[in-house]
Amino acid sequence: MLSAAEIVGALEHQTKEERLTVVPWPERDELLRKGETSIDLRLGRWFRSFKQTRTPSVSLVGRIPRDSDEPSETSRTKQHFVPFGSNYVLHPGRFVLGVTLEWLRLPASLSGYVTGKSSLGRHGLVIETAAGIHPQFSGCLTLELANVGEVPLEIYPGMPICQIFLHRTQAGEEREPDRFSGRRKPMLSPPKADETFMRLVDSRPDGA
Amino acid sequence: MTSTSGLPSAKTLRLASARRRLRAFIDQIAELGTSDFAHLDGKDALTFIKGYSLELREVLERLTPEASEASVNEACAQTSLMVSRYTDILGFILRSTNVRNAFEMHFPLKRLVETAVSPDARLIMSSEWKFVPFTYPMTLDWLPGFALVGGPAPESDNVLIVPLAGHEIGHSAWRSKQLKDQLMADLVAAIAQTLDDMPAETSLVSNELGVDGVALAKLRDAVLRSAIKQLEEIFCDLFGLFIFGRSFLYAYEYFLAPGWGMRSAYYPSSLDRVRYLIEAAEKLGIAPEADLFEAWGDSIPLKFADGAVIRLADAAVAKIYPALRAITFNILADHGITPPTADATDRVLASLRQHVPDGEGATLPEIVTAGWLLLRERGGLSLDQDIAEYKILNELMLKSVEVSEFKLRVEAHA
Repeated sequence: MLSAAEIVGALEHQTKEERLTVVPWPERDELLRKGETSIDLRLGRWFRSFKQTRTPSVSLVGRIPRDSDEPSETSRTKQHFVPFGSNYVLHPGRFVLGVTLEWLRLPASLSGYVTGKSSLGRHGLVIETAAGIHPQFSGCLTLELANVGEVPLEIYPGMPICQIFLHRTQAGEEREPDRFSGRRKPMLSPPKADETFMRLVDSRPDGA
Repeated sequence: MTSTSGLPSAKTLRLASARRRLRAFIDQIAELGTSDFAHLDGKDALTFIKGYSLELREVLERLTPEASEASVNEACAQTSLMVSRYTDILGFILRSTNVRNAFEMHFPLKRLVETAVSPDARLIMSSEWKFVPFTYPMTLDWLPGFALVGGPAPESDNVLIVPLAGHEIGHSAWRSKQLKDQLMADLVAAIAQTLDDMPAETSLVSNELGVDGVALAKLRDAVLRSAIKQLEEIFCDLFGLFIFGRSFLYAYEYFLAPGWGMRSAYYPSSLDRVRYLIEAAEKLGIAPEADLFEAWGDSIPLKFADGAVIRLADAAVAKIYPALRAITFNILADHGITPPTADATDRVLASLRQHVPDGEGATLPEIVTAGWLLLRERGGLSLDQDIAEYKILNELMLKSVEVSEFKLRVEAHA
């Protein structure tokens, strides 16, 4: 896991390809002063809530029912924009997708893990993300925000919402990064079909 | 009051219709008020419209059955006019809440309006399905302090076309700075000189109108109307150019290429507009690509007589243009507005090439200029395999705009 000094070193790396990018930039002095091994990330302004639709169900294994269109981001969710200074109220038992204010780009030599902040979790705000961030990821992180507490919670764009711990990866075969995948809004990507699983469910019960 | 048929009179029923129409309009305002407003200006506009609507309702309610036919008709006509006109505006306000808009752009454009037009000005950015473009530069009776700028709905989140909003905001500045009054004396003199300089055109139109002094006065009025409107459009072009730099030229070319079309008496010809833009760009140190406006065609007046009036107006406009350019640039410079800097634009461009947003707080014009430069060096990004790259370019520009807002807000309270 990278130390505070190593994080600052990665942010200031001379080589663009090796540089860790976090925009807006975290306060370097603050990082070093605190000596923490993570970077705090802030909540962005776009949210995506789920709405009731005619979609009978959503396959989490990438299978589309024969008589149904693939449910799209647009048909299943509603977007919200909250200006700085205003808030989004997350009611008990509700779930919304948020996004980090920061745009991140990890070099091939770094990966990361994102976790919520315990100070928020104690009030019932659970922040589960795509916890593992692969090397060469680029974009804003989609955050899955749920209120498991008993009172409505006000969340504000710009507030620290989660943190990323960074790890150095062993040198290995570099994969071709998807350079154009980054987005500034929370994304609801369709689950990818797993070939092995598909063969399993498509096999006949007698194993033939 | 009843009619001879025993039913209420037509006057009574007409008044009832006006009251119902206005009630439906007011109810609609309340409905729209529950929308998610990304920015308060739209909601504030509804409050103003509601206030005036309630005043109008009071007028209708004060009319008793004994009121005269003329009074009822006037109130009904006024109601009809305002409901009709402001229904369009309500639709515009509603569309301003749609998440297809890039709400990130409101902050820098609002700052621009506050700086260049009036510190109290409000801005509503929205989209329209019939792109004219839709713009009300602080000309609505009920919303005098509001600039309404609409982009085309399919591209309402496209940062690359935002320089055109500079032109539309220019219309608000034209009014707030009372430039028409400022230029009028010089323009009248220029027109008189032009009429003397171009006797063929003058006599052509005068002969059509008649040969007495009235004809000459009518001709002067027609030329003046054309020339002053042309000057306003040129001012708005220069306003957008000064603020957005070369990105204004690219956005302009994107929307209006390759010229042609029917010539309106109230716009310079398409080639003249381009000529003025290129000349002004060079004054600003911008060297547009030599082929940027290559093979543009000119717009053609519809009527023969219009052509003569327009030629006279064009000649008068050309006389005023140098002074207009100086006035435009001075107004903006006096307000502390500067064109995009090359250093910042280059820095943003370098970031965009790396597929990361700018983190140092560039201005909207610097960001959009860098975006255009990248788009052009990448060959226009119009093929199917370019879609992802084109989309991320817009995302990176919008994130850069948002980061600038974040930094400005934080630094303002440091």
